[in-house]
Amino acid sequence: MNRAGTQALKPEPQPAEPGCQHPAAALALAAALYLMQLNRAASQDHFDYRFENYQEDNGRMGVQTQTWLFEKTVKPWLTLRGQVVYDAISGNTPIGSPPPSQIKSPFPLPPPLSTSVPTAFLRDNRWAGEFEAALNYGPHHLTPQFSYSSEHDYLSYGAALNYSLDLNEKNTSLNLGWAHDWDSILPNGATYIFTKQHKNTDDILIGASQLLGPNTVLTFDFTFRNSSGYLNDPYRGVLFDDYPQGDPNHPSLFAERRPDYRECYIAYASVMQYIKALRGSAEGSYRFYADTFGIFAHTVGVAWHQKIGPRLVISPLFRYYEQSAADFYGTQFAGDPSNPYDTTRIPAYYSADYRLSHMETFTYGAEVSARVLSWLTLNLGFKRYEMMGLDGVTSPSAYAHASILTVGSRVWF
Amino acid sequence: MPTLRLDLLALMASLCALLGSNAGAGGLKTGDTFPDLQAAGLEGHCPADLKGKTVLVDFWASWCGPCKQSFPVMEELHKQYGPRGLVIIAISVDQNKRDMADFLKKNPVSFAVLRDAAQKLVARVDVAAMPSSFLLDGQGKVRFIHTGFHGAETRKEYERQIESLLGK
Amino acid sequence: MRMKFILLLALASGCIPMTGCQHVKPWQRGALADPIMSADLDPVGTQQAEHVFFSREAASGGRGVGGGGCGCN
Repeated sequence: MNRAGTQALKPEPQPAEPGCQHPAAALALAAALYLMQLNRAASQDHFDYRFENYQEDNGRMGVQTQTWLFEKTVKPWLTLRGQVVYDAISGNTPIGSPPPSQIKSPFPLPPPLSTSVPTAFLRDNRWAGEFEAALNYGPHHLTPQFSYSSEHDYLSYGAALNYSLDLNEKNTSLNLGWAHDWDSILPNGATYIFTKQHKNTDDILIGASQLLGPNTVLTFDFTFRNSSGYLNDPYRGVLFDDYPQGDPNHPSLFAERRPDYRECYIAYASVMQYIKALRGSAEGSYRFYADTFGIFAHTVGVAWHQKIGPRLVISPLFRYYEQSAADFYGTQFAGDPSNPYDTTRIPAYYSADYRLSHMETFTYGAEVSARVLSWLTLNLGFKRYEMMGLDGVTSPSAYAHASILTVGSRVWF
Repeated sequence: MPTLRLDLLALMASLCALLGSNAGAGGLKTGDTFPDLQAAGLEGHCPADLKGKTVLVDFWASWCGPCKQSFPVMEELHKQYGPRGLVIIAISVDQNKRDMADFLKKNPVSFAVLRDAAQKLVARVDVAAMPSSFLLDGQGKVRFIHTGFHGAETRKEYERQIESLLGK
Repeated sequence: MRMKFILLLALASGCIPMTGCQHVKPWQRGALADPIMSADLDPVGTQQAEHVFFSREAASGGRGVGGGGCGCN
């Protein structure tokens, strides 16, 4: 694989940082153990730990995620929540080129050429943290939040403020939320960027929850988001047909170009229904998404929570997602950006990131949760995540199929 | 500020106005006479002859989080002020008798516990939250009302109020 | 697109008080207090799942705001 117009490129595997020996994790654990000592009485305070193993088939991406969360009500009007996340990421990811069999080359090459999209190996670690304080005053609830995320190529600082108001003897709840992220994308030997890039995102949410009866909750949320700055994927390239290619197994690519502004509109609705006779509850949700990249997406989710005996809950779930392609998505593009006499055929924006293509995804699985002791809940879950292209052009090999295993615990203190 | 945000805020304000205030319906107030417990159709053994006694009536449920914290406190108040004439009556609004029994197994107490199975008394009193408790004087009049249970703060208020009622 | 969005928002807001709501009193909240009816029984699990979807799909969010960003998409 070559970066067109510059030196030959091969992403360098990044040295993995020491994992669980990181001081922040030890500190979080020590703090949690200390908080547990403070109050042994049965309470709503808790400390959660959860491990998730996300593994795509065929040597594609694998991510092991560990999350530590604590929640404590320190005063009747104040609840504190803190969370630390550690991701270990490694695996192969598509570079943006179509399969070698679809690349035209002036040199006759012996068949067979691979029909799978070329990938590159990458490795990274990510530390992230979140802290929030939930303030309550009668029917008013205000929650400021701060977040931080750090990878070797991405840094994010976030602030958010959520407000909710209880009305009608808590039958109705109105919600307002705002969040801002300040992100930096950092260059390295494998990226198409050479200087630090910036991205800013604003989210505004307005929503309401309404009880329809003693067994039914209905929720509506509307979100408006705008992002500006560097919105490209710094690792993905794009093939231009008229740029002379050598060996199709090592195509020369150009950096993708997405707009530097994106507005998103999201409408979300969910219903939760308690079914006393079955000792279970049903959950259904729908989300409509539209943005200025030209993407329209529909998401439908259903879950069932079944109580078994006094301690066990089994929750099967199913989620379907479908999106249209971004206006500027293509598997390969006509023209040659390096030829000054050829610029009229180059579109303003172009990306071959398969995640912007017309596609659908299926998620299905189940989780089991067991309250083994009055102060301890354990959970175990397994899901499959399948992506499928719908445009008939993007190679099926681009799409990921993954198994997700989760193991977790909650300690009440 | 983009126009869209102002539109959203305007809609939000009108929605708040439309849905009205947060105040509960007209419940029992201080100075009102508490309904007669003997005639309320409650399950369990109601202490007879409450005339002249200071009574703490507490509405609770097995599913109510703060109720788990209030029970040990009420047990201590029962031990401390029972000999001086305080009567504690805890009325469960559980629709399932087994839920109430399971709760009492985990939180055993020695004061009177009754069940408002039909949820008629609690509706008549129209409590604003769970749990809610009412301190009654010797004439059966409501003197103090507690909405919710807030740990040490509520406990201190109970002690102060019970002392003032028993002192008379 | 913005006007359609605002109209949809207004319509939904108007619908909330008009749906056949049965007012629920504080002592009738037994079912709602059951953990299987909580809005987010497992916030960590939900966040991990949403992170997977955000990393692989173009659409994201809708349920809430905050939580920060990452280089995953």
